[in-house]
Amino acid sequence: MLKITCPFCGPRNESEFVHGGPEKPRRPEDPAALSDTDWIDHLTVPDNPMGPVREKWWHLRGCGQWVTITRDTVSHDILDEDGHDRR
Amino acid sequence: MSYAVTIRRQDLSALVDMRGEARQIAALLAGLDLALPDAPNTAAEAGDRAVYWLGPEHWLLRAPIAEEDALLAGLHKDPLPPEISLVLVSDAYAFFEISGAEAAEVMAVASPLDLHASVFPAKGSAFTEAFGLKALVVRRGDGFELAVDRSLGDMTEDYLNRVVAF
Amino acid sequence: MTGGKFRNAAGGRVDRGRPLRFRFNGRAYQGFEGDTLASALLAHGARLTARSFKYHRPRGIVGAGVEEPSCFVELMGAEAAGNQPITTVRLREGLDARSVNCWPSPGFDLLSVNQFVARMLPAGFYYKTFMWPDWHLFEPHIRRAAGLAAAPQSDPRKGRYETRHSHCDVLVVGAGPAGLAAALAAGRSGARVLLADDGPEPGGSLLGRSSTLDGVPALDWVARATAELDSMANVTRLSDAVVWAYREANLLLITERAPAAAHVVQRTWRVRAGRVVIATGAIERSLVFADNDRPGVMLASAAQTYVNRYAVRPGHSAVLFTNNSSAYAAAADLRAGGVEIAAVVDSRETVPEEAKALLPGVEVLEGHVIERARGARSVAGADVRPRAGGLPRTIACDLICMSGGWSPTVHLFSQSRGRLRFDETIAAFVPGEAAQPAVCAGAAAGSFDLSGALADGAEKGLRAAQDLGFEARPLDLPAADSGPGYAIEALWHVPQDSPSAKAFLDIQHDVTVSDIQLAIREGFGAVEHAKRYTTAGMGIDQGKTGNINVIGTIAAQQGLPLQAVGTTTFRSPYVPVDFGALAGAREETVVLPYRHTPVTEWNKRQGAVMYEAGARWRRPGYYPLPDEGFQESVNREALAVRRGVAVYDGSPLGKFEIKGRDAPKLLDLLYTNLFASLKAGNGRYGLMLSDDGLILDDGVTFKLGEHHYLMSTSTAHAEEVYRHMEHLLRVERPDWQVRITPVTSQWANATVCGPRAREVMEALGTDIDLAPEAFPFMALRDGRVADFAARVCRVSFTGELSFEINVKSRHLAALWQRIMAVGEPFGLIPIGSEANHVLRVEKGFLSLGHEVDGTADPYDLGMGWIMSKKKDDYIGKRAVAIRRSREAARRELVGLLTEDPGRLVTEGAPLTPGGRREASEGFVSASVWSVVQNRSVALGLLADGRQRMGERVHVRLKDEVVPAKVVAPCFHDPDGKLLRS
Repeated sequence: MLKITCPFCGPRNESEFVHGGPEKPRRPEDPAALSDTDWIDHLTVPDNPMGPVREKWWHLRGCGQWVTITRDTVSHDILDEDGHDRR
Repeated sequence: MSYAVTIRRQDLSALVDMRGEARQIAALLAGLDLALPDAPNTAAEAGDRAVYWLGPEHWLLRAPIAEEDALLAGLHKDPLPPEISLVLVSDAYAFFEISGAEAAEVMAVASPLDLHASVFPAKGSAFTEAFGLKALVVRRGDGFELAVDRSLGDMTEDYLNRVVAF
Repeated sequence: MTGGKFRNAAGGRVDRGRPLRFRFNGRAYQGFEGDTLASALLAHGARLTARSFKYHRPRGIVGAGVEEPSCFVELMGAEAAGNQPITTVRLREGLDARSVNCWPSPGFDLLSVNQFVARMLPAGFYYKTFMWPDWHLFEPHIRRAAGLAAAPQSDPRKGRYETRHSHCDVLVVGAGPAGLAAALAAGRSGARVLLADDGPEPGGSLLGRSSTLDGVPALDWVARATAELDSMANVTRLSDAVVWAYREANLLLITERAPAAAHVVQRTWRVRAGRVVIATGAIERSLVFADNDRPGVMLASAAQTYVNRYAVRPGHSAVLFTNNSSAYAAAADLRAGGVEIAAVVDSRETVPEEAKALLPGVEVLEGHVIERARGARSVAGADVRPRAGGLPRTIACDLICMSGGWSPTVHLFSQSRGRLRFDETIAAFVPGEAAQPAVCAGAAAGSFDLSGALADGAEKGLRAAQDLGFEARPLDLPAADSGPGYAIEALWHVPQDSPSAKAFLDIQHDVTVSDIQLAIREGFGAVEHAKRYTTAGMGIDQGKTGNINVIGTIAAQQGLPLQAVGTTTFRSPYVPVDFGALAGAREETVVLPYRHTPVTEWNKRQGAVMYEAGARWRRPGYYPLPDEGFQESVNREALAVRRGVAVYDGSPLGKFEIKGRDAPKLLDLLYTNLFASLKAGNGRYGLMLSDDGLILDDGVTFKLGEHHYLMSTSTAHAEEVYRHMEHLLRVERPDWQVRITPVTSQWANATVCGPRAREVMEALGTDIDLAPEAFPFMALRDGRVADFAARVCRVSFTGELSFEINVKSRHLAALWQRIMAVGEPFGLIPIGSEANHVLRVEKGFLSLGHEVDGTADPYDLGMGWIMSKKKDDYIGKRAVAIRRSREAARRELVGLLTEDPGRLVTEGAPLTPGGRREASEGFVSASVWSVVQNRSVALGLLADGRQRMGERVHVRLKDEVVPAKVVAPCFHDPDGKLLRS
C-alpha cells in the first residue's frame, strides 16, 4: 500500500486513488493530421521502462485531482520530482 | 456497545456543492454572511452553517435542512456565471455521528486517514476513505461525522454496527 | 505435584497461586499462570510432543519462543486455531491442545513408518516421483499425509476480530533492552511512539536470563522503563503483539493476540510509521549433528529461559554443545536452577578463560564436537569426539543444549528491502543499507551484549525522533555486568562419516545435510533453488533457527564466502496469522459493498427476488406472486408494460451535472453524435467510445440551460464515465472550463411505462402539460408530480411510452407509494430487471455486457447513423475508421428466431458454420421469451450478419445443435411509434 502525496490533501493511502497509467503525451488536437501508424502508436505503445515512471493517479476518494508522481517500477518507491527518494 | 461511543445516523442536512474560483464563491457566500475556510480540508463555521474546503475550487456548504430553500435563494444570483457550479446535493449523502470518548477507536477501524489532533485539527473536514468507500470526515465536538454516498448508507450503518457489536 | 516434578519450588515468573488445568493430546495436566504450553509440559517431563513433517520422526520442544521449529499444536474448542508454535501458546484454564502432524498421537504414530523408508524420500522427491500424468492427481493425498493442522471446523470466536489503521512518528518493534531504551528516548521527545512486543510482558531476552543492571536484577529496570512509557500520553504500548510484515512506504502489520478490549479476540494494526526502530533481538541457531532432532535436544537459550523464567528444569543432566561463549552463561543458569552439567563440548580449539570461569568444576572439551545424539524417543547420551576426528566416547545425559551462535532477527528489515551483509566477526548476516526509514537496534543489529544493546537502542530511538524534528536528549543508561563475551567460531555442521546419518538443517521440514548436498549435485545449488528443491526454510518457522546452517553448508560445499551465497527472501508473515485477524469486521454482509435505492427495503418487503446489479446496487429481479414460477412472473411483468402500465425503479442510473463555458465542446468530444445543437429542455441519446474505438457507454444527456447539462449513464459504468470525463478535463484539456458534479444519489426515479402511462401521470396530478406535442419524446420538464417537486424525462428503455419521474431521493419512497395506490385501478405493477431485459431485447436495444462486448463498434450494431460525419473529431472516431478500413468480415447485430419457437438458448452460446465443431462465426448475445411474439427471440452477433437475413444458422450447445433463422434485430414496433406516442 503506497503512500501518495496529493498536492491538496497531503499524504494519503494508495487505496484512495485510482491508477491512471503512465503519463502520455496529450491527445492530439487533430487526430486526422496524424498517419495511421502515428495514431496507433499514440494509442497503444506507451513506454514501460524498468525504473522511474511518471504516472497519473486519480484522487477519487479525496479531492478529485489527478496527481502526477514518479514511481520506480523496480523498487516501487515514489521519487521526488528531482528523482530522489521522498523521505 | 463495546466502545464508549454513540453512533447515530443523522437526518438530512442542506448541502450545496460549490465549484468555481475562490473569489466568486466567496462573493456568493458573503450574501449569507459566510466566509471561505483558510486552509485546505478545513471548515469555516458560522452558527449552524459550515463551509468545507474539499478540493481545488471545490467547497461544500452545509446547513440545517429547514434552511435549504433559503440557502438556495440566498446563493442564486440570476444569471449565475457559467464558470460557477452550484448543485443541491442534500440527498446525495448519508451522515453518521460518531461521538464519545472512544470515537477515534471506531474511526481508526473505518478510515486510514490520520485523525490525530496534530494532523486533523478541530475544524478538519476532508474526503477520504472509510470502509473502502469514498467518505467525508468532519471533526465535531467529542467525535466525528462521517458521510458516505446515500446509496451506501445502509451498508455503512451495517459496518459501524459490526465494529461496535459485542 | 501440581506444577510438575521438573518445577523448582521457587523462582521464575509463574504465579504458583494460580494453577491452571489444561489438556494435551487428551491427557490432563496442571500448570501455572505465566506458563506457556511448552513450559507447563516440560515441567511434567514431557518429551515426545510432536512428529516430524516428512518422516514422522519423534520430536520434542527445541525453542522457547517464535523460533520453535519442531512442535506445533492445534487448539481445540472455542479457541480453535491451527499450527501454533507450542512455545507461544499462553496457558489458560481449560486449554485443550493436540500435536499436529501425527495420528493418533505422537507416541503411537501410524505414519512413522515413513522414517524407515526415508531413503526413498530424498530431496525433490515429490517433484521427481509425482510428475506423471499430473501432479494435481497426487497433491491432495500428499497433503493429507504430510499436512499440518486441519482448518478449524467450528466458529471459534467468543468476540470478534478487528483491523484498524494507526499512525505514529516512531514505531519500535520489540520491548527488550534495546527497544525499551529506544522507546524511552523517542517518547521523552514528545514524538508519537508505538511500541509493540510479541510477548505477554516486556523485557525480551532479559526475561529468560539472570542479568543485572546497576547491580540489581535487570527486570527492575524493565519495570521502571515500562512504567514511565505507560505514563506518557504520546506512547502506546502493545503486548502480545507480533509485528509480522513490513510493507512499502513504512506500512507495518501487527497482530495483537490478546487485546485489552474484552470484545476483541485479535486485532490487526496497519501502522504507517515515520521511522521504524527494529529491536527484535536475535535468535539462537541450532547445531547440526546426527540425530540432532531427538526429543531433549534444545537450544541453550531456550533451556536457560525455561529454568529462569518458568522455574522448569528441562532435564536432569545436560551436555552443552557450543561454538561460542554466550552459552556458558546459559549453562551456569541451568546449574543454578538444579540441572547438572555433565560436560561442555566446545568446537573451538581454545575456550576463553572468562567463559570457563562461569562453570567451575565442569569438564570443558575444547576442540570437540557431538557426532550423534543417543536415544530414540528421548536423548540418552551424546557421542563426543575431537573435531579433527577420532573415536567417539559417549557421555550419558538426558538433555543436549546447543548453541550455534546467534542470528540477528533481521526478518522485518529484510522485508523492508534493506540489504544484509555477512559479518565474519560474529558469523552472521547483519543489516546493511536500508531501503526505507528503518534501522535495527541492539541484538537485531549485531550488538549482542547488554550494555551495547541498551546504548544502541537509546541512540537509534533518539535519532529517529530527531530525524522527524523532535528535540530528543540522550538517556542515562544503567551499567551492565560484562558477560563471558561471544568469540564465535562458525560451525555449520558436524561432518558425518556414515551416509545414513540424519543431521537436520531444517527440523521442521526434515531437511538434512545430505539433502542439501544432493541438491547441489543435481544443479540446485543457488540458495533460492536449494530452498525450493529441498523445502529448507519454508513452513511455519521459516527457518528461523536453521537457515543460516543451510547457507553455511552450501557455502562450505561450494567453497564460497557466505556473503556470495546470500540469504533466501524473508517473507511475511513472520509468524502464523489467523485469517480472521486479516479480515477484521469485514465479513458476512459487508465483505463487498452494497448499494440501496430509497425503495430497496420496500422491494424486499414485497418479496421481490433481489439481484446485485452493476456497480453493486441491489435491485429487484422480479416480483413473484405466490405459486408463480420465474417465467410466469417475468411474462406477467413484461406484458403489463406492453399492454397496460407498470413502474420500475430507475434510481441507480448514473447522473452528472455538467456546467461551464466549454461544456458543449466536452460533450461533442465525448459523444459520437452532435450535441452542440441541442436546445434547452431537450435531450439526446448518445454513444461514448474510448479512443480505441470501443463502446464505453450510452445514455441520454439533457440540456438544462445555457452551459448547463444533465448526463445520464448506464448503472454499471457511471464511475468509469466519470473517470473518463475527469481525465479528459483535468489531464488532456486543463484549459477547458467545465465542472462536473455527480448527482446519482441526489435524484431517485420511478419510471412509469406502458400505453396507459399518461393516464397514471394524470391521476397522480401534475402541473406539467403531458400532451405529446407539449411534452414530446426526449424532452425534460420541471414541475410537480403528486405534490413533489419533480423533473420528468421522456426517455424509454422499454420501447413504450415512459415518464421517468425524478425526485429528491428523500421523496421517492412516498412517491412510490402514491404511484402504487393511484395506479391500482389501471392494473399498474412494479417490474424488475428480468422484465426490463425482455423488453429491451424485443426492441433490439443494445446492452453493455451483452451486445456491447468490448469488440463491437457502432457500425456492427447497426448504429452507423450515430457516428457524426459533421464533426472533425470525437473520441474513438479515428480508431473505428482505421479498423474498418482494414478488416473484411465483421460480426454484426442480428435477430435470431429458433426454428422451434419454444426453444430458448443459452446467452453467450456460439454460432458455428453448420453447427459443426469449428471456429465460431458469432454468438447469441441475448435470448428471451417474447411476450409480444409469444415465442423465443434472440439477438446475436454474426459474421456479415446484415447480408444474411433469412439464412439458417446454428447455435452450437454442449450436447445439441439448435437451428435458427437470421432476422432483423427488432421484434416489436420497429418504427418506434409507441415510445414517441
